[in-house]
Amino acid sequence: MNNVKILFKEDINKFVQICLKEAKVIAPFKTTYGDTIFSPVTSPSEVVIDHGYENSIIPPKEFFLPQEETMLTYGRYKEGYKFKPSLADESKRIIFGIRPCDVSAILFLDRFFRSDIEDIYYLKKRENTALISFCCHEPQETCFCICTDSGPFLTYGFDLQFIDLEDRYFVEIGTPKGEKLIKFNKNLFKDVSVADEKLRQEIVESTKNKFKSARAYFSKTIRKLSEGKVDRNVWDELGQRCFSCGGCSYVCPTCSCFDVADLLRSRDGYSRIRTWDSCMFAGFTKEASGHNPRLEKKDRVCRRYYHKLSYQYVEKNETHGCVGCGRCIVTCLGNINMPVVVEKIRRS
Amino acid sequence: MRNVLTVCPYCGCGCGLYLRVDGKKVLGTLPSKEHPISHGQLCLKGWNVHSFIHSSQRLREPLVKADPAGTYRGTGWDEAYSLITKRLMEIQKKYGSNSIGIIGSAKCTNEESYLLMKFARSVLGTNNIDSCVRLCHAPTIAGLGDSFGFGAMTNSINEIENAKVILVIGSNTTEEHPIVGTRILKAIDQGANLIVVDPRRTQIANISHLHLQPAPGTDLILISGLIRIIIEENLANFDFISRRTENFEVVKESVKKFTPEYVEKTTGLSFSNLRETALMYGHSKASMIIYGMGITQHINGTDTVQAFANLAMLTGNIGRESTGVNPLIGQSNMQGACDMGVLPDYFSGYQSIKDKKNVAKFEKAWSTKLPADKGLSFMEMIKRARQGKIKAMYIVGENVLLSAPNINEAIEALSHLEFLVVQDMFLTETAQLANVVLPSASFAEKNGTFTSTERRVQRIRKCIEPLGGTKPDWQILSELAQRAGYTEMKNKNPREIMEEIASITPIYEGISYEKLDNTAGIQWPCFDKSDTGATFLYKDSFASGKAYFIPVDFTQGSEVPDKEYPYFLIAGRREFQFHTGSMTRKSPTLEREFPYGLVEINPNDADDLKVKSGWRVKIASRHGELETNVSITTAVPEKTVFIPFHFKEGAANLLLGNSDLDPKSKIPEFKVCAVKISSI
Amino acid sequence: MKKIIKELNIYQPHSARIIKIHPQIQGHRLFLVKFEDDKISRNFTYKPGQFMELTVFGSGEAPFSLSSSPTRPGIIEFCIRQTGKVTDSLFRLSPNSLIGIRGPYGNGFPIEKLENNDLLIVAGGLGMAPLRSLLRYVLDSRERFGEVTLIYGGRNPDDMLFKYELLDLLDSPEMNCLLSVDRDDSGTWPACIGPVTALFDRIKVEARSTYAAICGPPIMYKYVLEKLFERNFSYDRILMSLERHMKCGVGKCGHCAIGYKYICMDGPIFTYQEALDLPEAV
Repeated sequence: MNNVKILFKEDINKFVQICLKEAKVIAPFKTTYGDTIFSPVTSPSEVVIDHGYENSIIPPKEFFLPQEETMLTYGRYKEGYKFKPSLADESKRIIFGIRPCDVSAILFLDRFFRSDIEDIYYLKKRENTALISFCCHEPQETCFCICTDSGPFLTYGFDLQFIDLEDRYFVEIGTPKGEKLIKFNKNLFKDVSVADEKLRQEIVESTKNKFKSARAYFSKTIRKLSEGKVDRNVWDELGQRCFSCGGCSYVCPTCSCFDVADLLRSRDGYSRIRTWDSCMFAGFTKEASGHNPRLEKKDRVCRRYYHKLSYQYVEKNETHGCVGCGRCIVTCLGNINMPVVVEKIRRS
Repeated sequence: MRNVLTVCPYCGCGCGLYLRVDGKKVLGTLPSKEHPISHGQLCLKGWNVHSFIHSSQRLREPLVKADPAGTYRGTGWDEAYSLITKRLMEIQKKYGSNSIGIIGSAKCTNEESYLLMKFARSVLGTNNIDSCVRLCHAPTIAGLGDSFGFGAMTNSINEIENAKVILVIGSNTTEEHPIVGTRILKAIDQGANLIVVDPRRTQIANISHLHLQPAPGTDLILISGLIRIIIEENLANFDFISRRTENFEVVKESVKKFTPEYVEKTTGLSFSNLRETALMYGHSKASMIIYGMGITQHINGTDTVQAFANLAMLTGNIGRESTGVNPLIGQSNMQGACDMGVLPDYFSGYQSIKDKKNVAKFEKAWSTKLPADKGLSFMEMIKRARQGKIKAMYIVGENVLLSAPNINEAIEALSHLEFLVVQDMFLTETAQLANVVLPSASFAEKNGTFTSTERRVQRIRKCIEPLGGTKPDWQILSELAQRAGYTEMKNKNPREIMEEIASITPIYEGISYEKLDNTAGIQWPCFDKSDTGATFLYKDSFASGKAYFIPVDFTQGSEVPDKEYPYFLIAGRREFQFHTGSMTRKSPTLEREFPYGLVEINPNDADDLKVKSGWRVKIASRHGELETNVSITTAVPEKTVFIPFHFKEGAANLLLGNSDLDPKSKIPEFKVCAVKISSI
Repeated sequence: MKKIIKELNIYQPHSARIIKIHPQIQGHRLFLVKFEDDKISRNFTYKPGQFMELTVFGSGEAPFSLSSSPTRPGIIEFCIRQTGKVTDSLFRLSPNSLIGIRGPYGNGFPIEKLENNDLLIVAGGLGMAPLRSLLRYVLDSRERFGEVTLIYGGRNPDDMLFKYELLDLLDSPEMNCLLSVDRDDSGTWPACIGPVTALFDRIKVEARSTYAAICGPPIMYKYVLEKLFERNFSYDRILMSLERHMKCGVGKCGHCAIGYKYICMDGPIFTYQEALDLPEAV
C-alpha cells in the first residue's frame, strides 16, 4: 500500500508554488481558445487542475520524445568533422496534472526505451521528471482506460497521485521522488482519516460506472489478431478509410517510432534530428531501391494494430499498447480508432 | 514553450493549428480541437507545417542579379528598393503603365494582397494584376459570380456532414482537401449517398456509391444530361424556380440537345448510371455539389460551373444548409486574394472596375487617380511578355514557371522581360530569372488574416520574428510604395490595413481584429459590426435579388487524343506534396513519402507499351516532352495517364501548353492534354 | 525508475576514414574503412552477418552489412550498392575522406552453433556482401568447421561480386566453390553456365549435419528453399538474412519491425523456423 496524505484544496496553489521553486512545472494549460495543451507554466493560476479538464490534444510523451529533437550536430572541424551530442538540459521537471492513462503510457515507453539498448535522449529527460497524476472522475466520451486497465486510478507508476475528494485531495505517494516533494511541505499535508479512505473507495467505485460511450473489449480481439484469424476484409475496409495523415501515431501516447534526418540548419553545420514518425506512411518501410514490403494502406493499418494488440507484443512489452486515452478517436480523419477496430475484429 | 494558434498555410480548408515555439524556433505543430474546422485533426501536410520554416534554403537577404549569366549578389534592402523603384519608374515612363504586370500570391495574407492590389493600381497605375486563381478557380469566380452573385462556396465545410446526396466532381477530395474528405466520410457513415465523377479511381471513388468515369473534359455534357433527365422525370422544383430565379425557360430549351444517346456517346457513361445519379440528386432535399480543379481547368470551365448552378437551382438545392454548389479552393488564401481584388477587373470585395462609382470611391479613399481600362489576366500577361509588350513584372510568392501551363513558354516570357522582381521565401525556379529577389517572411513570422475556401476569414499569428534578413510581404510593399513617393501606404501593422479594407469593402465591412481574436473566424459577407457572418449564402435572396439561369453549350477542347498522341494526360496533385513543392519538398517526412514525379498508367496500356513499374518513359505532347517513372495502377482507366505537377524533375506542365483560354474566365486548358508515351 | 547506469550515447558515431575504394561490378563498390581512434580500432570486433551505421556528412546515416571478417582486424569492409541519397553521396567520396561510423549491430550468424557442422552458403546478388564475411571467417578458422560449400550465381560474369577472389577459390582444397552465370558472352568464364539452382544437383550435403546460410533477392529464396526442402533440411538449420528499411540500428526507431521482431536487434539473421513465425516475413 502506498503512503497516503490529505491536501486541502485551498492549499493546492501553495503546493504548485513550491513545485515551481523545485523544478520546471509542466501542466495542462488552457489556451484562450479553449484547447488543453501541456505546457510549461510560471504561476499556479495558469494550471488547469479541476477534474473536468479535457485530456490534452497530444500526450505528454512530447516532453520525453519531442515532435522534433536535435540528437547531434556536426560540422567541419579543423581536420575533419566532429559530432556534438545535443542532450537536453538536465534541469528537474514536474509534470503536474498528468492523467493516469498518460502515466501508464509513460511506463510503457520507459520499458521500451530501457530495454536492450538504452536510449539516453529519452531516459535522461525521464529521470529528471516527476509525474504528479490527477485521477479522472468524469471520463470524457472518448475515454476507455477502464477497458485497458490503465486508469482512471493507478496503484503504481506515478510519483504522486491526487484523487479529488470534494474539498480536499487524497494524495498517494508512489516513489521516493514523490515522497521528497511532500517532505518539503510537511505542514501542507495532513494525515488521512478513516472517513477519507472510505470516501476515496466510494469515488473509485462510482467513477468506474461512468464510462459509457467508448468501450473496447480486448481479449477476443487479441486472440484473433495474434493467431492471424482476422478476416482480410476488415483491413480492406479500414484501409479504404485511412488518409495516411499519421495523426494516430502522433497523438498515441505509446507510439514511439521516429525518423532521423540530417538537415543543414545553420552556418556551422548539420543537425541530426529525430522526428515523430508513423507506420501509416508508405515511406516508413520503403527501401532505398524503391521496393516497399508494406505498400498498401490496409497492410499498414493491420501492422499498427498487430503492434498494439498481438500476444507477441503483449509478451514483449508486458502489456498491450493501448492505454485508452481516446486520442485516436478524436484525431483520425477516417474514424479508424482503437474501439472501432477492436469491435470490427471481434465481430468479424 | 509557447503555443500560438494560427492557420495552416497549405490547402484552402483553413484548419486551426498551434505552432509550438521554443525561443526563436518553431519545433512542432498540433491541431486545435476547439477549432470548427480542424476538430483536433490535421492531414500529414498540416502536421508537418513547421518543417519548412527553418529550412536552410530560406532566402536571408535581397539578391540582385550581378551579371547576365545569372549570378546573384546579396545586398541590403535599401539598395534593392532603390533599384526596383528606379527601374519600374523608368519602364513606366518609357512604355507606359500597362507595360508592367503584377502577379499576386494565394499564400499571402488578405492584408498583403490588398496592399499589392493598391500598389499595382495606385503606384504602378495599372490593372494588370492577377494571381494563380487564373490557373485554378477563375471559372468559379466568373461562373458562380454571374449565376448567384459571389464566386465562392455557397455553404460551409461542416454542413457537408448533414448532406444527403453528395456529388463530388473533379476533386480528389481525400488527398487534396483531407478535412473536407472527413466530412464526406462522416456524411456517408450517417447514411448519405456519394456519387463521384472522376476519370481516375481515387480513394474517395472507392468509397462512393456510384463512381462515374466520363471521358476527360466532358463534364459539362454529363451535367446538362442530368438537368434534362431531372426535368423529364418531373423533379424540377418549380416553386423555387419561379420565386428565386430568372431565365429558366432558356436553359430548359438549351438542354434539349443533350439526349441520352448524345450523352452516352460523348461521355462514355451508361444512361442507367446517369439516370440513377439524376434521381438521387433530384429526389433529395439536401443535395450538395462539391467540385475542384478537375472542372475548372478546362476550356469550358466557366460553362461547367454555371451548369452546376443551373442544376442546383433546378432542384432548389441552394440557399439552404447542407446543399449548394461548393468549389474547393486549393490554397490557403486564394479566396482571400480574390476577395482583395488581386484580379484585373475587380477591386476588393468584387467591386467591378467597370463601375465608375467604384472607381471614384477608391480614388477618393486612396487619394489618387486610377486606371480605367481592364487589366490583363495571368496568361495574357505571359503572352504579352513573350511578345515583348509587357516589359516588367512584379511577382509575389508564385512559382510561375512550374504553375503556368507550358513551362517553356513561361521561361521564354520571363526571360524577355527588361525587369523582373520576385518576392519569395525561397529561390524558386521563377526567382532564378529575376533581376531582384526580395526575401519574404513565412506565415509563422507575421500577423494577418487568411480567408478559407468556405469564406472564413481568420487570424494567422506571428510566432517568431522574421528570420534574419527577411520581411513580411506587407512591410515590403508598404516600404516600397513610400520609396516610390506614394504616401497613402504608410501602414504600421496588418490590423490597421484590415481597418482600411473593412472601410472600403462591403463584404468585409463588419470584420475587425477585435472580432476575429474572439472567434474562430467570420464567414463573409459580414456587413456590419453586429453581423456574425454567414455559414451559407443566399438564404433569402441572391446577391442581386434573383439567381440567373445561364444557358451553356459544350465546346470541344483542341486537346483530344489522335493517332499520333493516343493518350489523355490528366494533371493533378497527390496528398503528400503541395503545388510546386516549394514548401512541402523542404520537409523530410513529406519528401520521403513522395520524392519524385511519376506517371500512372493502366496495366493494359503498360502491356501495350511493354513497360514495367519503375521504368523510365518519355512522354511527349504537342507542346513539350519529359521523362519520368512508370507507376502501374488500375486507378487510371485505359488510354488515360496521370501526372502530378509538383516536381520540377517531371513537371506535367512541360507537356501542357495549349494556348486556348476559356473565353469567360481566361483560364488555360490545362487539366488535360493528348500525349504519346515511349519507353527509354 | 532505475538509475541509468550507462552514460553511453548509442547514437553517437565515431570518426572513420575511407582507406581504399575498390570498384566492384556496375554500381557497386567495396569500401575499406578504418576507425580514426586507434584504441577503438584495436578493440573493435564483430560477427559475420552484423551491420554498421555509416554517416556520410551532410547526407545522413544508413546501415550496411560488414563484408570483412573479424579474423582480419584493423580494416573493415563494406560492399555497397548505389541506390539512394546516402549511397549517392558515399559514392562521391574519395579515399582518405572521413565518414561517421557506429556499431556493430544485429545478431550476426550463430558461429558457435555452426562450428563442427558442414556449411552450405547460398548467395545471390548483393547477398554475397554479408556472406563473404562468413566465408572469410570460416576459411580463416578452417579447422573449426566441417565441409564448406558456396553456391553463388549471377546473370553474367560482370554481375559477380568479389569475382576474382571467388574464382581463386574454385580449385581450393579448403572448400567446394560453385559459381554459375546464366550467360557468358565473353566466352572466358571458367566456371559453370546455367541457372544457379542447377548447381544443387552437383553437391552432396548431409542435411542433418549441415547449416545452410542464404542471402539474396526475394525471388531467390523461393527456389533455394525448395531445393533445401527436397534434401530434408530442417527449418532451424536454414539461416537467412532478412532486409528492411532501417534507421537507428538499435531497436528504437521502429522502421525495421517485422511481425514482433526487429531486424536490427533480433536479426538480420533468422532461421527459417523463426521467419515463419513472423507474419510479414515470408
